[in-house]
Amino acid sequence: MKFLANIFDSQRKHFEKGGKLEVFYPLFEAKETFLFTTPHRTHGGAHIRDAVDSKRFMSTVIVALLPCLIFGIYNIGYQYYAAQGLQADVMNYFCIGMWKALPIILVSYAVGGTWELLFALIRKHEINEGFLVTGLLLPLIVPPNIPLWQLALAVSFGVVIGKEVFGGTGMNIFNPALTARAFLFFAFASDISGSAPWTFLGGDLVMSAKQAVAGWSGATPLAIASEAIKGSSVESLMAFAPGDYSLTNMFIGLIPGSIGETSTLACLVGALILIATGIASARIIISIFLGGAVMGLIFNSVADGSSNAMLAMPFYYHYVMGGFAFGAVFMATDPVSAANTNLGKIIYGFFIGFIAVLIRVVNPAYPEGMMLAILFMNMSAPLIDHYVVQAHIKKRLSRG
Amino acid sequence: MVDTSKNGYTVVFLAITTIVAALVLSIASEQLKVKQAVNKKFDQKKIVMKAMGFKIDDGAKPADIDAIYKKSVERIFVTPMGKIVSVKDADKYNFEKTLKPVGLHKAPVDMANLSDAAKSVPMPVFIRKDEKGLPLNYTFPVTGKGLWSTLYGYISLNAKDLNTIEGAIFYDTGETPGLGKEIEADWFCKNFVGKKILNAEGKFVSVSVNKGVVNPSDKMFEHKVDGVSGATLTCNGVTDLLNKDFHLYEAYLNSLRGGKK
Amino acid sequence: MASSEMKSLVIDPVMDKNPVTVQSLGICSALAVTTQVAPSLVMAIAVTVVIACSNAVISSIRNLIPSKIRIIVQLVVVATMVILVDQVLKAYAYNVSKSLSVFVGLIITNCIVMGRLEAFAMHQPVGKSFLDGIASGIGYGWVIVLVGFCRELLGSGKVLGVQVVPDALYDIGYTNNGLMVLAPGAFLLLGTIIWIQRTINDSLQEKE
Repeated sequence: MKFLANIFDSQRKHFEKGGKLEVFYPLFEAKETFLFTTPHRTHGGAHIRDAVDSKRFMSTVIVALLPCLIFGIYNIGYQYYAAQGLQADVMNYFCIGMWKALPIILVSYAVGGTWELLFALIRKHEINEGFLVTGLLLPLIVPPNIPLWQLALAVSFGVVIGKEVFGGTGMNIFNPALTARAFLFFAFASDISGSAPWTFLGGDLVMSAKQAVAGWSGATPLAIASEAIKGSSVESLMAFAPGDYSLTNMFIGLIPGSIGETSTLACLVGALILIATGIASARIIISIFLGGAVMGLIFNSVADGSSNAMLAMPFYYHYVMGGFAFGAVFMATDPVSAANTNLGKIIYGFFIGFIAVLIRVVNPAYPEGMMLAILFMNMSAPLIDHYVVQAHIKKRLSRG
Repeated sequence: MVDTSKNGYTVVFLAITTIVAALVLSIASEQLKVKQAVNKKFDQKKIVMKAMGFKIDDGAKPADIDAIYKKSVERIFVTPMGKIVSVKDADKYNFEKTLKPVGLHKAPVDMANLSDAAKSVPMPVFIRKDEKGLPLNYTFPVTGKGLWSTLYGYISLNAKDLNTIEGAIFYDTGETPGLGKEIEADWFCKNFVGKKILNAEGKFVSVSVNKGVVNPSDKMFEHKVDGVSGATLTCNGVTDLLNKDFHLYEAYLNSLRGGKK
Repeated sequence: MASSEMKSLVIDPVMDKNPVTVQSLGICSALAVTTQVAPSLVMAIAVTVVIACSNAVISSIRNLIPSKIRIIVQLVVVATMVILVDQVLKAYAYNVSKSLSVFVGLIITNCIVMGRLEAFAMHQPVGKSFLDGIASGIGYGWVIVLVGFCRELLGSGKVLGVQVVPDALYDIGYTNNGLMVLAPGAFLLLGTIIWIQRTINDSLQEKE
């Protein structure tokens, strides 16, 4: 480390103001602060005595994401063999999973990082750390079979339209990773809907396409539940022969779906890490689950069982299907796009859960209501905060 | 210079302006009426003729199309009971609008308990004829509910067996672009060609839209078309409306089949 | 007319006082008709004709219009022009008029038209008003045609109905961008055009 530090110290002069490599200062700064603490010190009195700067902040999120990532990689391999009616050992699962997931993560970081660097150079500021998290979040919320060029476009969209037009990290209204996901959903609907995109079955340059066993279908639980016409959604899920869509199995996450979001269990582990380190707001997470439950119970009470089978589905099924848990833990808690007042966080979270379940049940064309619900509440967050603050001021004034 | 603020002046000015505007518009409308009517009729004809299997250029002249239409297409009206009826002002008859009041606009339709009004609704059938005047195929409109919007289409049946589909077309739907709206695409419409509505025993089974690509080894291969992935509900709509409209025309088709035997 | 005045009369509505990107007028139709180039072009021409002709007519009778009812008179003139354009399109360009549907009729609510009448034609001579109408129409036109071009190219792989994205590209996995077919696609493109225009021309940015 000492050796590296010396290199940085000896080279700094080239990158500082007046040096010949001044233009590339952001690049230098990013590498240096990634490895060491920043050489900049606060002038005047320091107010916060804490090692947490936004880079440490982001790396904690990365650590919290690891359970989801590792499980997601395992699950790609598991689904690959399950679709062919086979079983294999854990190493095989991981190898297949890495084969599919690594390129996705690399493309996400490479393309997003390039845009970040470009904007940092043009706008002459330091490279923002925000993309460290966004670059990993996005691969976890796309299907394993996503074409890489589409992913590259989506990352560009998320970074440029979702963040940079607003002025860069910290200024964005929407969560950039979700913006990218929404772009994919609306732009390339056929590659992210239906039952094909969720299970890797070979068929790329190296691995030949495998034949799935007869009767197999990669339909996600959400699709099964929303398309159940007769009987309740739960029965349709239980009756879905090619996969095990029991509550327990969906909780563990051995089901087809986006790479990192299938396992509610892994999301909860991540949630514990985030809450324990004080990075994510427990208020938001809990009120999201609460909001989902309330909407679910309202639907249960009006369900007549005939028109829309999903009405009668118990609310906790929503927790384990699709991206509900992942969205609640990692997307909605993004401090930049979430509400910031304490009461605001509760309102914000409650309506995310509420709207997510509403969209899932009532609008069959958009099974993944979580994404739309979070984006919608991202948009409303400043308004919520504004009214919370106003109410607070009024209360104080009336107290005299 | 006149005083423009007086009330009398204002009224006169407005009257003159309105009269001039009305005059201009009525002259224009009178001059263009014939051409507009031709366009409108031509547009509907083009869709029907596409379903019949005519190859039509987008740039084709209305007069040419009209000539072909006159020579080889005949339109008749039949009721759900199979009776051939005549309709006054047939060119202005709006079939889609007549269906709604009698409850035939969306599936399911209970064929056993049709109201009297429903039993006598005139429904168009377009017959394509060869040079000798013998029917080549029968084409009729199909309509029903999709996910968001009403789906419109035409289905064409081979005249020899009244069983094989010769063409299908869906148009003017308001479904999700890229998903549901794909049913308007060529690949989806061509999908129907060669499919059969009767099974080997001659019983009616309709044609349904499959979830995904149809497996050629499927027993129902002749009665299923490839679905649009991610648009299951629109596809179910198509399945339902086909089932409904084949039933509506069944009496007429049976009378044709009976006549042959 | 001085040449510099002439220049700003013609250039301003096209660039720095562009009705769509700077004044945010006529957004509704800019979103609705721009899925393809052909309807965008026809719409651009229709709007240009309506603005230019209404401008000329109103300007020629501007001293006769009682100011109490000037808005009504403007509406009558605009409505007449719009219906004329609609009728002509239905007779001579039926396919395009079908894809434009109600949006030809809705030119009447396009704020650019009434805006130019109130702000310009009521006080300026006929020739200048006509020219202003043409320039405003072009300012509106280039934006929607550009949006239409991008949307048709990315959304359907075509330009003016002719396929330009080669089949070979589709064979290796390229697909059309469905977002561009939806109205939000137009919003995003419009926003991007505004972003670029403001980056090039600092004076358009609001001062804090």
